[in-house]
Amino acid sequence: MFVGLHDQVSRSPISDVLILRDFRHDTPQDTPGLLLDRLKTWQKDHGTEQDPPPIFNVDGLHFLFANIQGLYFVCITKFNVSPFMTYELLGRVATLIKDFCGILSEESLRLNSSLVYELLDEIIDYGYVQTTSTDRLKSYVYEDPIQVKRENILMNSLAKLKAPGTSLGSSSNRPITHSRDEKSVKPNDVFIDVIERLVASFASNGMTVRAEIDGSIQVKSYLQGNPEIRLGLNSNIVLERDKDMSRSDRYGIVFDDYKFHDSVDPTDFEEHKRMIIFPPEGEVTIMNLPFRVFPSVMRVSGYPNRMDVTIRIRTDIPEDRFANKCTLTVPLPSVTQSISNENMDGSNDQSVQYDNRIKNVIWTINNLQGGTEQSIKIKITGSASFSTAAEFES
Amino acid sequence: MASGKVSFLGHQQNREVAELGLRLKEASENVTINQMGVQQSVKRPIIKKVLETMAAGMDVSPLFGEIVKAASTKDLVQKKLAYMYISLQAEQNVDLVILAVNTFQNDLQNENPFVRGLALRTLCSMRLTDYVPYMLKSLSHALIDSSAYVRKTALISCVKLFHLAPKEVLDASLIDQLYNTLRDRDPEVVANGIAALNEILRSEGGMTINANIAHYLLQRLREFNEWHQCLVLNTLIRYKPSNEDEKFDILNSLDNRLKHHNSGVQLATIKIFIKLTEGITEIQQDVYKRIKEPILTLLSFGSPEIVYSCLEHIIALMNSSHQFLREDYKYFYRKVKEPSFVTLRKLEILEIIATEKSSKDIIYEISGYITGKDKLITQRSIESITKISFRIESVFSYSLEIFMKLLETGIDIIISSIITMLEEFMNESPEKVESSLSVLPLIWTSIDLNSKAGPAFLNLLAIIGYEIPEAPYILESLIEDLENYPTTPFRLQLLDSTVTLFLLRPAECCGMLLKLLKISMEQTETLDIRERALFLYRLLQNDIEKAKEIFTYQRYASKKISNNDNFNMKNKHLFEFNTLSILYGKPSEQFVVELESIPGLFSKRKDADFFSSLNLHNISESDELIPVQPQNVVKDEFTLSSTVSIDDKKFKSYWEGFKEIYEFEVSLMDSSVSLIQLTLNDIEAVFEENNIMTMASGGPGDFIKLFLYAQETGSHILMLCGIKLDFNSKMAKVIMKVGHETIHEVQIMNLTKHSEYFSQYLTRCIKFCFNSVI
Repeated sequence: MFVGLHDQVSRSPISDVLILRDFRHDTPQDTPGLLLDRLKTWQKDHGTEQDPPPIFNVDGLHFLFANIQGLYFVCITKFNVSPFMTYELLGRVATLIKDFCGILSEESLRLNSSLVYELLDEIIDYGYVQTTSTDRLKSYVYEDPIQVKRENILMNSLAKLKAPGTSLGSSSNRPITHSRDEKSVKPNDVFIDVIERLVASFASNGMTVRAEIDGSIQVKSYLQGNPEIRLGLNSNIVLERDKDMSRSDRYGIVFDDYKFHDSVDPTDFEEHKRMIIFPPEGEVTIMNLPFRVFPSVMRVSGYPNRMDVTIRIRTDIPEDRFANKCTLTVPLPSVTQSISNENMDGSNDQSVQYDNRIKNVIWTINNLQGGTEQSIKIKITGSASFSTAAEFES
Repeated sequence: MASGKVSFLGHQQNREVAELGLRLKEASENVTINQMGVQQSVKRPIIKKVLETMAAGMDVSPLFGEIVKAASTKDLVQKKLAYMYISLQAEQNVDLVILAVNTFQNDLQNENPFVRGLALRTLCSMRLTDYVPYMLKSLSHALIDSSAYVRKTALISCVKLFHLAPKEVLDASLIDQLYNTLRDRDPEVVANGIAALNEILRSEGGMTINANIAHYLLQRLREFNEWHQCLVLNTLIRYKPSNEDEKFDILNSLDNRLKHHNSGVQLATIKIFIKLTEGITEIQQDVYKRIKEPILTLLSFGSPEIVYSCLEHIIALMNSSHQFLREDYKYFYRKVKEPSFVTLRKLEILEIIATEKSSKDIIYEISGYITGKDKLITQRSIESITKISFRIESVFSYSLEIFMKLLETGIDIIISSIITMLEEFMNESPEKVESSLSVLPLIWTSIDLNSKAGPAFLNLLAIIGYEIPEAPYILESLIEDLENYPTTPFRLQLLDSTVTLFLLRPAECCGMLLKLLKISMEQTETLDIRERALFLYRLLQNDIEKAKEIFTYQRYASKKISNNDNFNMKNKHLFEFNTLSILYGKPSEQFVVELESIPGLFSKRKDADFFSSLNLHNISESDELIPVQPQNVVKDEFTLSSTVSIDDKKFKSYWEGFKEIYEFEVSLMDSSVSLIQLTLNDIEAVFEENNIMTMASGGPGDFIKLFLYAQETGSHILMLCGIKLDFNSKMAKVIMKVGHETIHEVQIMNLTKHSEYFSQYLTRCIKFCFNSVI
């Protein structure tokens, strides 16, 4: 099968081609122009909020693209490729650029363009993927990264806010290679991020429509010599597929499914919930795990044009730990006119903000102590009755 | 003024390039000083600047010589940059490339395998036929290099070379060498070997997969990296196991690939699973169960693009197994911050999987999307609810209830979409809808009357006109304000509705009806409106009882939408699973462009210099031939329309749609004209004189392709044909397709007669072409 990856354009939101690599020379010169036109027309018709479907076809040329942190990564091909592989590749290329350049942003791409070209040439040859292993690539790529200065990280995080879905973990915005001239000792660090995304939605009568958590454990390793890492998880993890619910694990954490990165040896996982990781350098998502929770209560009452929402959040982490900067976003129905909130549990390090334009309440808790409970009550007045479901996200 | 600007820019650019050249020259001295120990050279940033200038679209070819010099350096970064420049600029500087050959020569012998690989990669990416023998020689060394990096680069270089000079590559016994590399100990080399064989042998369907190779690859599968696993799996799909046991062995050995973190590998595996269990229904059911979890996990995790592809594939799977994921409908609920293209696909799936049991939940969920910000989703959600409630009767009233509630929101777009759907509800079950329509007078000002909702609203208003006291006044205000509603469907429905209401309540409506009829009959731009008005006027004048009969009958019989269309699922083919076909919802032959097969690709070239490269000798001979009058060719009972004209899009759709296909050959051996001296112009002129129009034509030199079409006078029968004129064998290959303008409608019609006539006619025309005098 072909990986007909022909050129790869990454593009800033202001329609500018940052990187363009034509691997097979079988596409017309103005090809990137076609894409820019397409995106512009789309934005004119549908606004900049929404991206167009990630694929289109002009005269037998297929454009597959992904918006990653505000940059478009595009594959243009003539072949009937596997969409999954292509999108995976675009994502992987983005991660590799981030690994090698430190952060992924328009400025970082501009500064490091020759590094990126060098990288692309080693990743892909004539449209065929060669390797995406950071270890291998490190020995092929010689250019030194230029790190983007501090203040631009703000820009980067702004771009992230806009990007849909879970943003990539940001364990450390440091490139994996160091300038060869530098005599400094490499620090022996490993960063482990546990990222969880909880989605719960409730009906107007307080019933739970859906509640789920998607989580992943991301490891970014700067350890020298790539030693193996052992990572243990709670022993009360149950896989739902096993359906052994009759056992004492009833109240354990239930996984629907999980998958491991290639570098993980999961043979021990079923029994001891232990993974042995041989992390390659750079950022790797070693495990993805969705599981369900039973949410705390929410009540709705009042007049048709009024709605009271109570949100309670409980942390089940040990008491000596706390969660930093907990943010809860509560999208409200579009008919919302105004809100008022009350019953905050007295603590000062939290705030509630309401943005009328996007109808969102953002509840921020700076320090959420383990084992404690916080709640807010929001009173909403709408211009019409609320008949629709509201969604809550943490 | 504009031109002045351009030349100024051009000047500026030239100066910039010249400056860079100067800097490169000066820097060269610095390199010798620095070469002592320091790897970083001064030239590096300058070459970077050159590449940036090139990316900006400026002509940097004058710097070729300097850059070639810069390529022989110990600084690997600089070498890479310089090589990149060379490979991109080689074609514009063919005669200078010889300068670079020396550098290539040295680097191909370099002790560092990466340098050898880099040199080879760059050398073979120059598309210069002159250097093919040199490239071939370098390749044959590189294929047996001690470094795996060089070997794998060499394999991809084979493919590059193949496209440059197919004959040489096929002749050079490379194929055997390529098959040998499959035994290489390095998995990357093996993978590139497979890739190279697949591409070079594409005309034969790719690399040969026998049982030995298949099992060998399966055994080594885990050694490959994720991308190469995709490649190997997608190649293995062609392997047909000889018996059931072998099938199960393969299924078992691939099972763990379903948990792979790369969705490309997962989907390639799923495809093999489906392929292997084809025709064994029970096991295929197990396979569907087995792949459920990985697919659902993908839905929760993948990036939006992967989720989107995944949803399209789920639709395809649902097509072949209707039970698939029926129970898991909640996975298709919208997530927070989900891009709209994903939500739209999810709605499509929810429509399909809604069952008696789940439909109420689903409709409730979808109703939550309607009040969102995205208009497209609002409309699509309303449509989805309608579709589900038409299919599953038990939720019909429930949906109606939801719609009625939503009408109270006062949001224009929601009201408009719901009104459009309500008309369809009315067709489906009038008695349930009628009672709820009393809200119309309250909400009608929010309806966008120039959209589809306009006519729908008028129709609904007429239907329940006798119950709503305000109905005539609404119509009256619309008629007063008529110039704001120019669309034809609106005007037509306004006429119908006013007449309907007039028949019910003549006293109130008489005045406005007259006014409306008057305006409409004066209407000259749109004949439809005028004719409708005239017709209605006469009808009312002559036979009011008849009119009543017609209009009461019409009440529920308006524009009935066909229910079948709604559930006519996209034509998805499982055998094209894990390809773009699934995303486009059509088989690959409809969108993958193979050069030479699609008419649009042949530019319609009228210029004679098309054949300038051909040898134009022997022209004199043709003088002796007796010209045949074109008129003699024609005249049977079968005549062709001289005014037919279709555009390329239509042509394409006809070409794909017509099922009556004939192929025949016309030998031109007996024509003594040297075929080569004919120009496309002449050929096309002859056809045109005989009422056969040219869609597109062209060809590489030793043959011409023409795409022609014609229509029978007075009928809607179209005849299309593709002709390939081969100058060497003096043969014309003809593919002819005959069909009706509406493509599908009249497939039953007997077209044999037309085909016969047209093929004879065409043959004569072709022969005539080659006997005529230029």
